[in-house]
Amino acid sequence: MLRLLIHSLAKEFYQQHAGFFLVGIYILFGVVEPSQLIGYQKALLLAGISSPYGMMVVFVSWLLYTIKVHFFIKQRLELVKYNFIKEIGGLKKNVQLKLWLKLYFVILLPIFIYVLLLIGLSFQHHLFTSVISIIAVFSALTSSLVWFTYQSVTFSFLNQKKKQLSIGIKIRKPFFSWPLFYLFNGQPLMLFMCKVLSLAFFKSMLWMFADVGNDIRILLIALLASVLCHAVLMFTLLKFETEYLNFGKGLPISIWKRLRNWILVFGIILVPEWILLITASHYDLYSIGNGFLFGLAGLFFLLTILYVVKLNMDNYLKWLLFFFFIVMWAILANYYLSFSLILLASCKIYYLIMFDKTDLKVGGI
Amino acid sequence: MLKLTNINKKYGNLEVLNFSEWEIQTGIHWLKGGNGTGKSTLFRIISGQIPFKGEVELNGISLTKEPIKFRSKTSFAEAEPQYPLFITGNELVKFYIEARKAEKKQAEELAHYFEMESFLKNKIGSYSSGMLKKLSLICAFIGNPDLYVLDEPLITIDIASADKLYKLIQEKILQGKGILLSSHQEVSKDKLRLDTVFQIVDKQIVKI
Repeated sequence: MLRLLIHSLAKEFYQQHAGFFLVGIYILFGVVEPSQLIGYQKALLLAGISSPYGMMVVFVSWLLYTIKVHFFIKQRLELVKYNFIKEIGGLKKNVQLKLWLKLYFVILLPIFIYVLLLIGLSFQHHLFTSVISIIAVFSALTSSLVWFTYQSVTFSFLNQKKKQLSIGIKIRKPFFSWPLFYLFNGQPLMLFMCKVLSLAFFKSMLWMFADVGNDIRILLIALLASVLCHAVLMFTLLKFETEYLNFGKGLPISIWKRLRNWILVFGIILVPEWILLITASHYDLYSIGNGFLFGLAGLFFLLTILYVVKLNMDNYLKWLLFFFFIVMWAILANYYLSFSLILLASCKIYYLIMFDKTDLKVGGI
Repeated sequence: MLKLTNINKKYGNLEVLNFSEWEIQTGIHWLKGGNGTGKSTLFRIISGQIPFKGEVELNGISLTKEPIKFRSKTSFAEAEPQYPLFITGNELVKFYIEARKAEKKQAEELAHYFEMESFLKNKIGSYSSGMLKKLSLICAFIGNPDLYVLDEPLITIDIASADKLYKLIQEKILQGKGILLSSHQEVSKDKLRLDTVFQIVDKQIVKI
């Protein structure tokens, strides 16, 4: 049973957060020379355990990760395709708790590795309070996840229907905005976490390269991190379009209008990032223009990959990796403007040609 | 009216349809057959929803060459319609009115006809499967297409609504339209005068 849970829930979690892990790996391993890597890692870990402020940063990041995991699992358990998991509710309490603990151990593995490293380093530097805090916080987070999942699987019949929040104002919803309303209504936590991570990564990149000074490339690397944080969001949006807006394919709507709708959606989704970009660029129009172009091209490319791989997550990840390296090269080599233009034009051409030739909907022979 | 030539449709390695020619004129045409025979696939091809090999023409308008014009002349109601749950029935109907450049009055009359007026202000997420089906039928009859493609229009709707649908289909036939429908259930011959009955046998469309 554990194998099935790992193959379904854990695998899907790692797949859906590939963009996030990619940026994380880059921050942890990709920003320094290989010869300085161990020293850099040690310095990062020490910064995390040697002061209450550092510990707080570490614990808050773990908490965010845990919240993300919790809502991911919660959402999956609400889906019809995961109804089989409700069978677990018939097992004995301790068997269930052990099962969930093992699953969360797999999902929390990236944190667990750092827990071990931090504990080892704390012992080395006689920081025993840090050891206790690390163990206590990590245990509390894991136990909470296990307990909440146990409760929701075993007592799912007690769940009350969510009350719809209504403020009595009727907002007109033009067709192009339906994917956005879907995010706000159907996936608010995913949207929130995506934005928090995106903005955090954007800021982290700026801080990391603060010594470089005013360089447009830093802004674009920060935007790249933000774009990659939207990998799952883009997957969700296209999935929504495929499942719920498929009827629109039979209507006389021009391909240009459909294309314009996507660009509008990208532009609105990235509003928080645009604000950060504008302020971080010190209102330099060239940087802002390049940032806008790059951000739109980046999200459009994610959409295009999803079309190419027909919503296959495994293949999507491979493309993300490829995208990350190519973009980093283009930015660092100062080819960002031509790269963004070529990317945007290629994605546009692909969409115009392939929209009618691609069937993303599965089933229903 | 509708002409399909050299049609080939595969899902991966699974070939679902493969025939050289199929043509229908105005009138009511019933496509019968069990699950998995390719009825929905054929309907989705005709409505321009999925890619395929071959040519589909409606009154000389080619789907591949003039997709927008073609789509404005056909209307498709899916067997199991899916719409965003957070929008209201009214919002969906308005979208269809805009897309099909139809009159608001026509949509209001259809909503009244299918006794859905009072539900259209509610979010689609609150609809029963029968209401959802009726909403999809209202949307399908908005505008003035030449061909109506109705995939399993009778499932989940009550007998009274089915009778109303039969009447509406007869009205459209008097206006010179074409109706292509599929159904697992036997279509009542007292209520609907079928012009032809087809079946998909071994990837081919056969007239019965």
